[in-house]
Amino acid sequence: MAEKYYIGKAHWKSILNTWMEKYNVIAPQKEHGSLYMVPVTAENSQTIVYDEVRAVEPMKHFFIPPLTDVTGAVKTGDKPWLFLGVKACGITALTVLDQAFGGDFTDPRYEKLREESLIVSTDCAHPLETCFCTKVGGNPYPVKGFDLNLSKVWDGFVVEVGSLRGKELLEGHDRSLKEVVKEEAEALSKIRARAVREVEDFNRNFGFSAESGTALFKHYSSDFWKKDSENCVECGACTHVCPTCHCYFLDDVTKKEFVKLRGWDSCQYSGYAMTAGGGTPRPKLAERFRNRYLCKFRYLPANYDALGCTGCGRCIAACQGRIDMRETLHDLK
Amino acid sequence: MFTMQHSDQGEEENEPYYQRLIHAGLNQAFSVLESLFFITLTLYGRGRPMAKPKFAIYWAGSCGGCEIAFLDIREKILDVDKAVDLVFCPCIMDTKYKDIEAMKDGEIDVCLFNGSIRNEENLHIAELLRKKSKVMVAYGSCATEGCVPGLGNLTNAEEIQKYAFETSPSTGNPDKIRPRAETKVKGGKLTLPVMCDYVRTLGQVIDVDYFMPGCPPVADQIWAVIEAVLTNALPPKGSVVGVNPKTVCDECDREKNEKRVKRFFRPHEVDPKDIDPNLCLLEQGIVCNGPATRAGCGALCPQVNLGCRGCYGPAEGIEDMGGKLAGSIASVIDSDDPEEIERIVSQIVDPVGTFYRFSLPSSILGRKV
Repeated sequence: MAEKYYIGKAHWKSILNTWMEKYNVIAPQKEHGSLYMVPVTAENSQTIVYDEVRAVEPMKHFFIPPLTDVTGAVKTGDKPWLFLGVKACGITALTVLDQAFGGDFTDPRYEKLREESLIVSTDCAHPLETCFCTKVGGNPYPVKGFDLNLSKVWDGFVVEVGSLRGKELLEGHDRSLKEVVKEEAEALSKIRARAVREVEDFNRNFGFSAESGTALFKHYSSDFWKKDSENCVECGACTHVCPTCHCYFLDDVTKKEFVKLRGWDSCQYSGYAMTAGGGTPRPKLAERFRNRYLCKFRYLPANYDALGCTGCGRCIAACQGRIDMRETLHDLK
Repeated sequence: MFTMQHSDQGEEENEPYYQRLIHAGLNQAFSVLESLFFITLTLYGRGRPMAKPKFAIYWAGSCGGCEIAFLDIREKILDVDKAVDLVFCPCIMDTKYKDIEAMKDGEIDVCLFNGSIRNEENLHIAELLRKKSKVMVAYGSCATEGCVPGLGNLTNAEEIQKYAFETSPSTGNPDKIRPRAETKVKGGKLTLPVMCDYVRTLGQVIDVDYFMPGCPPVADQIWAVIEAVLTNALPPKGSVVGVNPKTVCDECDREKNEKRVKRFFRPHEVDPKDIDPNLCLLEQGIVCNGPATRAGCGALCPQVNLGCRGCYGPAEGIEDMGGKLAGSIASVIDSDDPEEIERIVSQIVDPVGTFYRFSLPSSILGRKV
C-alpha cells in the first residue's frame, strides 16, 4: 500500500481541522528548546513542529501512563487519540510494547487505547546529537507501522498511506491530494538522505552495531560495567524516558474501595524485584546498570523478536551523570 | 584635549623654551598616535563595520522586468551604489555560480530574489542563496505569488514541452527533438536544467524573510524597501513590504457607486474615448481586480483606463484571490435570469487567467493534479 500524495499548505489546514473535530490530536510543540507532545487546539495548531526530531516524552507516556488505576472497566477519553508527529523511533518502540502488552497475555487497557488511536508519523529533519537510530537498524524516517506518514517537503507534505484507517483519514479530501511529482520525490529523498547522513556523522566515533549489541552476553563479567556505571546516581531517568522500557509495579491501595495502581518501575533502583526479607537478584549498581543493556540488546530480542533499543537517545539526554549508552556499547563491541 | 589647554597664545609665549619643546613633542606624538589609530581602524575595519552591505539580485523563472524596475529608481541607483556592494546580479554582472558557492554562509546581507521556481536550476540557486544570505526577500510577483509563469500550473511540464516542441502550429520539428538534461557532444557533455513539473513560489521551497509583491514592484516602493534595509528599519520577519494596507480601490480616485453590470468588456473591445475617466471601471463593465488586490502601486492601471490586473497579490485577509474576485464580480451582475447571467459571465473569456493571473501557484487551486 504505497500510496503517496502531495498536500499543499493551504489544504493541510482544512485537513487538520477535520481531524481535530473527530480526534483528540496530540502533536509536538516547541517549549524551552525541546519538543513536547501537547493536545492541538485552535490556538496552537499553527505552531506544530512537523519535522525536526522526536519529542521529549515517549509514546508509552500515553499508552501506559506513569501511574494508572487498573481496577474497574477500561476508561478512555471522549475522542480517540490521533498522534501527529510520531517519529520512526517512536513507532519501533510501539512494536516492542505491542508484544509486551499484547501477545499471549493482553492488557485490555493498552489494547483498547492502541486500537482506537491513530498514528500519523513524520520524518526527522534535524536529528539531535544523541540520536543513533541508524546504528541499531533504524532510519530517521518511518517505513512501516504508521497509519499515515507526513514528510515535510518545502511548504507542503508528501503523505504516505500506511493502513486502511490512514486512508480513511484522507476521505473527503480527494481534491487536496495531488500526485507526487518528480521534483517533490527528489527533494524528499534529498531531505531523507541528509537526515541519515547527519545521524551517521554524530555517531562516526562509535563502532557498535545491532549485531555487536546482541552479542553483549559474552562481556557479562567485563570490568567496563563497573567503570561505566561510576557516574550513575540511580535516578532511573534512563528507564523512564526509554520508549521501550515497560517494567511496572502494582500497588494495592485500600481506601473506601479497593484500588490497584500500576506505576513505572525501573531496574536501576535497588528495590527492583526485591523479595520479602530484602533479597534482590542484583545487589550491586554495576549489575543493575548491566541489566538495562542486556535487557535491550539480549533479553528483548530473544523474547519479542525486536531490539529493545530504538536509538532515540532519550536516555543519553536525560542522564544526570552524562552516561552515554553509545560509549558503553562501543567499549564492549 | 591636550592642545586646548595651550590655545592661549600669550601664555604660550611666556612659557619657558624647554616646556614648549616638551609640549610640541607631546603634541606631535599624539598626532602620530592618532593617525596610527585611524590607519589601524581603517585596515581592521575592512570587511567589518565600515564595509558596505552586500546585495545580491537573482532572477529565476521571470521576465527580467524586476531588474528593469530596480534600475527604474533612476538617479537613486547612485545612492544605492554608494551604500551597498552588489555582489551578484546575473542581469548586469558576470558573476559565476561558483563564486557564490565559495562565499561564507550568511555573507550576503540582502538578497532580492525575483522569479518563480520553474526548473531545477532555480531551485538549486534559491537554496544556495538562502544559505549565503542573511535576509532573503521574495522580490516581485513571481517570487511572491507565482505570477504569469504560474499559469503554467494549469498544465504540467510534459504538456508544455509537448506543445512547444511538437504540436504548436508554428513548430517545425518533424524529429520531435526536445531539450535534454544531458547532451553528449565532441569533447564532453552539455547539461540543461530540467523543467519542474509545476511552478512554485519562492516561499514554497525556502524560508523567506520578506515578501515584496508587484509585477514589477513600483520604483518608489523598491526604494522604500532598500532604505529600510540600509537604515536597519525592517519590519518583523514574514512581513509583506513595500505595500500599503487595504486594496487598490482605496487608492483609486475614481467615483464609486453601487455597481450594476449588464455586459463585461475585454480591454480591446471598448473604445478608450467611451470610458468615463472619473467613474469606477467595474461599473463600466471593465473587469478590474482592484477590490481584492493589495494596494501599493498607487492604482497605476486604473489611472490609464485599464482595469487593475491584480499584480500586487491578494489584500490582507484574503486567502484565495481568484475565489474572492469571482465572488465580487458575480455580485455586481445586474440580472436575475439564469440564462442572462450565464451570457454575461461568458463574456469573461478566461476566468482563471483573469482572476488568478498573478497568484495561481500560491492559491488554494495551486496546480493541476
